[in-house]
Parts: sequence; structure tokens; C-alpha cells
Amino acid sequence: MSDEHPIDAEGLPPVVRRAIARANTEDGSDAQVARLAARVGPVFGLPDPSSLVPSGSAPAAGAKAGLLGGKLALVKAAFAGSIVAGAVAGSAVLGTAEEDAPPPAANDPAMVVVTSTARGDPEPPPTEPPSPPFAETASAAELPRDRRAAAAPAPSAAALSEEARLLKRAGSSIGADPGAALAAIAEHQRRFPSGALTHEREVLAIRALLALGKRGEAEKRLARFARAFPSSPHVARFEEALRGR
Amino acid sequence: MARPATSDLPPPDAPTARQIFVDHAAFVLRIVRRLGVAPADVEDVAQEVFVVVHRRLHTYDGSSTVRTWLFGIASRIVSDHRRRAHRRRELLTDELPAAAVQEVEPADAGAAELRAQLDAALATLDDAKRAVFVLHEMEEMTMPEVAAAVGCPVNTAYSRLREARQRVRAFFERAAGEALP
Repeated sequence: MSDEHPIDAEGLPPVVRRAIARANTEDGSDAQVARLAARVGPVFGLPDPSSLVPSGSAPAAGAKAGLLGGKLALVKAAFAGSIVAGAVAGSAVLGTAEEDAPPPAANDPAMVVVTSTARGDPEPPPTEPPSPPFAETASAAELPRDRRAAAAPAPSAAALSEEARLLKRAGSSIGADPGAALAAIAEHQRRFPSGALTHEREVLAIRALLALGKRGEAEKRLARFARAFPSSPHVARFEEALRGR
Repeated sequence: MARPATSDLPPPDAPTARQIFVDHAAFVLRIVRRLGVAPADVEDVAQEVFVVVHRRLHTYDGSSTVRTWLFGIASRIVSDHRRRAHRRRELLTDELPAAAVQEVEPADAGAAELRAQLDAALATLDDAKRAVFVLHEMEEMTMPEVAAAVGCPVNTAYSRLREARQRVRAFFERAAGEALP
């Protein structure tokens, strides 16, 4: 490595090393890994988080060594979230399309496989009342803007697990009782306004509103969602679904 | 027992998809970011990488390290993404400053600024030099592994590394307004 070649004597200025150290604390954070796990987990055949045992091979040399234990805990929590992913994805992952779900983009491999797109570590919310009615929060408050993941603190495994539990509850009731789904979503929003699964929550919220026939609220929520998650594949799908109605 | 006469079988110690994810998800996220994907899109692109990993796992023959193989997939997907993102950005220029501002934590603005400088310095490198710099200086890969990952002779990789370091150093010196040690 650094002492293998004369060029290494040239080195880098300390300030660049500090910048690299900073980058190493941000990129590939446990929270990012957990969110990514929630998205690809179903595809990788990981229904049982306990099956996630690190292989004998070493993790990436240097930069992230030593983090695997903590990372695994978060990955496990995220795979609880992958159940949410399945609920959000509907037909794409679980083959259980629901009538209110926007159609999956079948010719896009990433969309076919996983449509739960947790992202975020969004900004703390604006000054919202602690327990606002769902419809108000949907129309009035701006969603925490997407992606600040690099600078965001990693959520604890317990928090992520609880987020996943709430959204799983919402996802599982959305077909039979979208009102109950909205209640679970509102609870998630109250307890985790800047949660790691904000993206999932909003996808579920829009689906629930559509299921209830609340098209106007769904449109408002979608507009807010699109501002916060402009590159989410769900934006175009919901827009298409709303246009089709 | 006779071994099946086919080259399609994975090597006996071939990693499973889940092992690759657990061991290398953070690596993929880092690489995607450092090859020039905006923070907002890193997880989307990393997801694309793992979708391809899942589809192509049977082609991994063990002749290179997993990280080298992953880098090849990631760099192609990042390249495609950057082309697409460039086109999109032309329509979204008014959105970018707000997103960028929110990535800076006021309490840690100094470190965040350093990171921003590093990103900007990396952006001045062409793709070949950037890859070598990222893999060696940031991922701490050995130079032979770097050369294998980017598909060039080791001496070429060293040459790219030298030039990349000079450019990065020059960038930081311009930012500081003075020569750096």
C-alpha cells in the first residue's frame, strides 16, 4: 500500500488527508447501508436477518474496518424494513398488486426488483405542531428535503426497527383499511419526522390517500414528495396513476 | 465423483449475493459517491449496482477480487448515471443550490467545507485519474489491485496517481491561497 512505491513519498497534504477522513466518516454510513438493505433485501433473498453473517473475507480494507458489527445490526433492522419495501412495492416484489398501486415500470430492472427507495435522513421538520391532523401535515408542511445522508447521524438500530414496524403496519392494512394505514403513517410522522424511512412513509401515505379516494390530498402530498425526493421512481408512477383517474 | 464438465458453475468458494452485500455495500456506496454521483442520488445508483450484481453474479469467476469486480460494475453504472444526470440538471438548476446548502451542518461547517473541496478537487480529474485516486487514496487498495480494477498496467496506474495527487494538491492550494506542506 502506501509504502510500496517511491511515489508514495510524495504523499498528500494533511488538509487533503483530513478531507478524506471526513469523507470516510460520511460515505457508506451505517444508515446508508441500512436503507440500501431495505431496498435490495428482498431481491437478495434475505428474509431472515439472522442469516446475515459476515463472510470470512475481510470487509473493505482500511476505511470501514471495524464497523461491521454495528452495520449488521442496522442491516437487520432494515430487513424488517424490507417487509415494508414489499408492502410499498406491491406487485413488483411480492406479486400482490393492489388496485390503488401505481403500475410498476416493468421494463426497468431496478423498478421491477425493488421499489422501496428509502433515502434521506432528511432535515428536521419545520415548526410543526406535535400531533397535527394527518391532512394538515400533508398539505401544509414541507417534507424534509431528501439526501443529506452524508452529513446525517446514523439512526439507531432500535429506531430504525420501530420505524419499520410502524410502516409495516401501515403497509399491511392499506388494502383493507386505508384509514388505519393513515393512522399508522401519522404516528410515524409524529415520532420520526426526519426518520430514515421518510420516503417509504410518503409512498404509503399517497397510496392510502388514493385508496380513500382523496385525490386532492394525494396530489398535494405528491407535490411535496416530488420536491423532497425528485429522483424517486415513484413520482412519475404516481403522476401517471393520478392522470389516469 | 465426476465434476460436471461445465464452465458455467461458479467457483466452489464463490460469494453469495448476500455475502457480497454484507461485505461490500458500504464500499459500493462510497465508490458511487466518489466517482461523482450527487449525494441525493447515491443510494439510487448503488441500488442499480446491486441489481446488476444480482443478475451477473454467475459471471463472477473469482479471477479478480470481489471489490475489483464490483468496481467495474459500479463505474459503468455511474458513468451512465452521470450522463443522464447532466441532462436532467439542465432542467433542475434552481433545485440544486437548496439541496447543496442543506447538506452542510452548521456545527461542522469546517469539515463539511473540506469535504466539499475534496469533491470539487475530484471533479477536476478525468475519470481515469479519479478512479485511481479514489481507489488508492480513499479506499486504500494496493496499486496492483487498483490497476486490475481500472484495467491498466500498474505503471500506468502509478502515473495516473501521481498526476491526480498533483491536481488535488493544486486545487487545495488554490483554495487556501498558499502552498501546502
